[in-house]
Amino acid sequence: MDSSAIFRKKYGSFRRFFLMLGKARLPYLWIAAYLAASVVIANVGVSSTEYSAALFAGNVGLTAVVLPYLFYQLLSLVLGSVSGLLANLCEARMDRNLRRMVWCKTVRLPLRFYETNNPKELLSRITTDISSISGLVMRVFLAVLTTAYSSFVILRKISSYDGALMWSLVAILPVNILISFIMGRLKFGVQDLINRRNAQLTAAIAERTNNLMLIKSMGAEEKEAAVGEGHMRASYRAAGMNIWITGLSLPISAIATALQTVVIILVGRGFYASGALELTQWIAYYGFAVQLTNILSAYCGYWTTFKQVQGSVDRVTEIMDERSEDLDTGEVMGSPAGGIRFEKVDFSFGGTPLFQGLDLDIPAGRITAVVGPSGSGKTTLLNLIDRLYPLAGGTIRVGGRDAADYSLASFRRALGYVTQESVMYAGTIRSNLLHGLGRTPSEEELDEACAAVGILDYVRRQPLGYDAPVGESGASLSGGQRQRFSVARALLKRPDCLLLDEATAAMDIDGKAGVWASIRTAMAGRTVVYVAHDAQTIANADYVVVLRDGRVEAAGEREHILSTNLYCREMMENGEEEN
Amino acid sequence: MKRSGQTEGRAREKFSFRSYISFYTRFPIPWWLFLISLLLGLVNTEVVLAASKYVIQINKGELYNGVIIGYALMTVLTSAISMGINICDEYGTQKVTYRARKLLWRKILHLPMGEVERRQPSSLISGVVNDITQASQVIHTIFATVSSVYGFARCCVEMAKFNARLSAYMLLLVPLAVGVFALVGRLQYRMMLRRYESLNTMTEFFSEHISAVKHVKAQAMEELEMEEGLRAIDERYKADLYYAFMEVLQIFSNTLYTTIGSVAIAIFGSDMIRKGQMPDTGINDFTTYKGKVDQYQAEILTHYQSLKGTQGAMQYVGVLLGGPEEDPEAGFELPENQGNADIVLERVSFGYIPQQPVLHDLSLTIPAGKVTAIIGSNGSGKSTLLKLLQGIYQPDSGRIRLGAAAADEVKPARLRRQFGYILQHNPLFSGSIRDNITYGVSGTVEDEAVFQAARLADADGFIRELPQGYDTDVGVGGSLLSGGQRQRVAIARTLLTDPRYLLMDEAGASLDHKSDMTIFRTVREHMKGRTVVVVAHDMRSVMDADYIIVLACGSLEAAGTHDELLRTSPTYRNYLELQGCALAGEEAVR
Repeated sequence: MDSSAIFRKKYGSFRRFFLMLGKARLPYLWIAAYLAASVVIANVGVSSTEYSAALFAGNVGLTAVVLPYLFYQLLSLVLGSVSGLLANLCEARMDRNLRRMVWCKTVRLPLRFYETNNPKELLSRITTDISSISGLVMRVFLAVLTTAYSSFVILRKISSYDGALMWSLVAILPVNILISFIMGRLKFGVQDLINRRNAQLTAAIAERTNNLMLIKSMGAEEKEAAVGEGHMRASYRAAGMNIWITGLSLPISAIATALQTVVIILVGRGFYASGALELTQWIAYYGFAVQLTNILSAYCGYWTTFKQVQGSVDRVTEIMDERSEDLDTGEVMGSPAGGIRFEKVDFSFGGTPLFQGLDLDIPAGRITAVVGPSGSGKTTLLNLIDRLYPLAGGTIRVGGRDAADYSLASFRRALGYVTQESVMYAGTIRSNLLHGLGRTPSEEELDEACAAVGILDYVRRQPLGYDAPVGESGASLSGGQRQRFSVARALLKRPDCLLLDEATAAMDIDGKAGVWASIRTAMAGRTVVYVAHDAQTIANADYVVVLRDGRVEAAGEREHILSTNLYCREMMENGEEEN
Repeated sequence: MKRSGQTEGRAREKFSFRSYISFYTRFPIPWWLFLISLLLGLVNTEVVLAASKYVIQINKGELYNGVIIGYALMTVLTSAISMGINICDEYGTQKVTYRARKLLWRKILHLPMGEVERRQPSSLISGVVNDITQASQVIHTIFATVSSVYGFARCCVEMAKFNARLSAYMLLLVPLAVGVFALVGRLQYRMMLRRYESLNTMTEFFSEHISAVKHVKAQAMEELEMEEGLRAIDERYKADLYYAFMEVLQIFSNTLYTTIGSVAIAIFGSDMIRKGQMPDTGINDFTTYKGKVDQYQAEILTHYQSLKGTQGAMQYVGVLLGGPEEDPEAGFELPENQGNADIVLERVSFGYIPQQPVLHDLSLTIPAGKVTAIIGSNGSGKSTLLKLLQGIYQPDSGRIRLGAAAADEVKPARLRRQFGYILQHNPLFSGSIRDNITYGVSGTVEDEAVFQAARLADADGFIRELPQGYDTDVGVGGSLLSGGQRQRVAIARTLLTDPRYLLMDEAGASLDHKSDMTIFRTVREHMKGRTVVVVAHDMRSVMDADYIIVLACGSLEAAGTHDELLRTSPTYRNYLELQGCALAGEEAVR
């Protein structure tokens, strides 16, 4: 890519960033109040410096100097607090508004987006990236505005003493900016190295600590001690480099500042000696010059922050540019009665085709098992039925109608789908069972659902019953228990069509048998499609579909398929394979 | 295996002052660096004072060449000394960090497994990464405090020399300073805590909900999801608002303190100037000294705060280092001819937490040189039993014997090397496939041996098809390979260690049933004459075992051959029926 293209890209990403900020409903009123406060503070600061200069010069008239000095001191105190509060409030509101916008967008993104992005990274977009963006707006964009205004007010004051003095000062200041910029760059580079080394250390330690059992069972403690030490040494070395860079930067910037101060003093001395400046004005001038130097040194900090936040900005704008799913266009689906028919369905993952011209009939009102070796497309088949992925070609018909005629939301709601992950949320057993149900079932109905999946005893044993907490993501439950609750939740919805993806895989042999008996009763006369790996689970089907490499190898009545299909026969003879 | 109630707050660690000190006695500390830094700090105070004198003169408009040059020289000198201080401090601290980290890492590698689970890996990781960094600050902070106290005293003296009365008025402000400091400290603690908690709650919420997104999409629950997300965001917003007010209150109190100082100087100072008790430009001079005093005072308070801040980390690291540890080399060697001994459990009881025993009073024998299958429902203690066998956990009571040797008296490292252990999901470490296969073997390994192990595990074929063959990187945790590929590499890894006992806990789960069967036929062939213990749900492979153990709720329900169990164990018969193999079994009996 040539340099102009890179430039264009950067330019484009900033344009998109500002467009995004425009959509985010920033707290403009608060920002305006904050800016107004900053304007007042800049002016108060100038007066305050002038009165303290007078005081320092020995001018101690009570009403002329001391009282106004006290007044400005207290005013600065109050105004400083007010503006600090406004800044904090602005940032908090900005955080909230941006986060709301990104979350509302994220929720509506298609499943593929989540599958191709690392969940940890998505999480940090909503949490830390947003915070850095509001930090960028407050501490860089607005700070540049307010400090520019303060500099302007200070310079205007100095020019009121003497115009030439002001221009001499302006001529010296860029040296300071240049030096702090160079030092900032240098430090930024080393800091980057340190962060990388520390990240590597953390990753290495985390990978091993999470698998201590393996290390112990292999007797590899010594080996791992050495590996860990290697990473620790690398991180120590990076820190050592930083020590020298930071260390050396101190005297370098001190020499630069000293030189600059000497020039500032020499310039001022000329005016002071010629009588153009009085003592009070000299003290004020000197104070102002120091203030200006400090303000301008901060500019390199802005640059560093800006560089650091750039990644966050890109990641968040990227999300906002993604296409959301259209959930509501189309007819409202009532009941998905009738069979499911795939007609010449094409589907591919990123360029690799999975299904090409797939034809398949899934009978209505019966239980169908989808089996096949791993990678044959079983889960994808269920996802396509629930319209979680868009088709590349062909049609899926439900009860004879094209599924695409219905609105996504109503369609998906009409089908029940128990996914492989058996999702539980932090909360109580009850809140998990009722999640997304849209009605409040009676206690008897809950008991019935739990009894059907063989977990009622467990609930009864809890001192809090249905109100017992389950921990984050159901951490206090075993895999089998989580699966039981997931099936119970799906049964409470009484869907006309139920999809199950290895929903009983983690249950033990008798548990599985009980749950399948209940599914058969509860879903009598309705359609069930499930993915299974093991002989015991397949035995519950009326109808079996065998997939291999994205093709239907066989489909038909269970007895027939189990005795004629080679894959199934081997599985029934050799035993199960669980997942 | 589920383990509930593993939450043990870090805050409630038992703490003794001794662990604080003992932390610093476990490794050499570069005292000389910290001493040099202290000396430089004392010298620097003098230079700072000298520089202040020039600042005062410049402020008075005494702009002689000597003053300007003196000012410039002193400024540069101070920064040169500060550089020395920084370098010594930082090097000292980094050396301490590095040494302490190595120590803690070794400790963690040798923690008993029960301890690892009680403390949770994530907290151990942040122990090595974050807590150590904080704990290493302590020595440096103590030295820096000494240097700041000296600077504070020295500047107070100079200030008093300049004007004793005005300095005395300033002394009256000290209780105010302490009060403000205490208030600010409390506010700081509270607002940080609230902010931290709210961030955690929000992160937990989004992390849980992002990983559950398929469930949400499948049920079209986006609206509900959005509402709940907005609620989580608003909770964080409320904490931010609280922070906004508290932080301003904090800054206000700090500024109020300095403002009161300036106001007092202005009122009393101007009065003294009018009465001729102080030179005209006295306020300028005094304010400069007062500025230095305030600066050192602030330093002392910051050091105090950071010392307090490191307390938690010190405590954690101290308690961890003082806690239990297993020594892989403590105990007896196993006799060389131990290969074909029975494994005998004598009245073994064990629970992850004392109130909930997983195994009670379990006695059984796993016959040598045979294939033994263990079956039972969820939570019956099958996997726990396998972990006890290799000494990853120790029984609460009872004993495990390998032939004549008591397992708890054998060197843990020796014992574990006798066992190969394959789980349902076996982690790999980032690195090449070859590194992973040779993981458990010390010393160099012949290529041919690696290939042989890979062939046995049916992995050689797919590895050779990869662009870099055995040198292919597997990614963190093996994420660049598929589940089945990972499993095959893990099996090759175990076979290469040439175990005398092979334990398999639902090891076929991530494989196609066909390759599952192929691999296990070869593995079984390879392990012929050695002991194999299999935990499985699949009754067809269970029926093939030489010996079958049925566990129920941590107790032995039955044990024997297939034919014996058909007669004696209703659970066994029930399992066979449920998986549709009862007929075949019964026919065989008849």
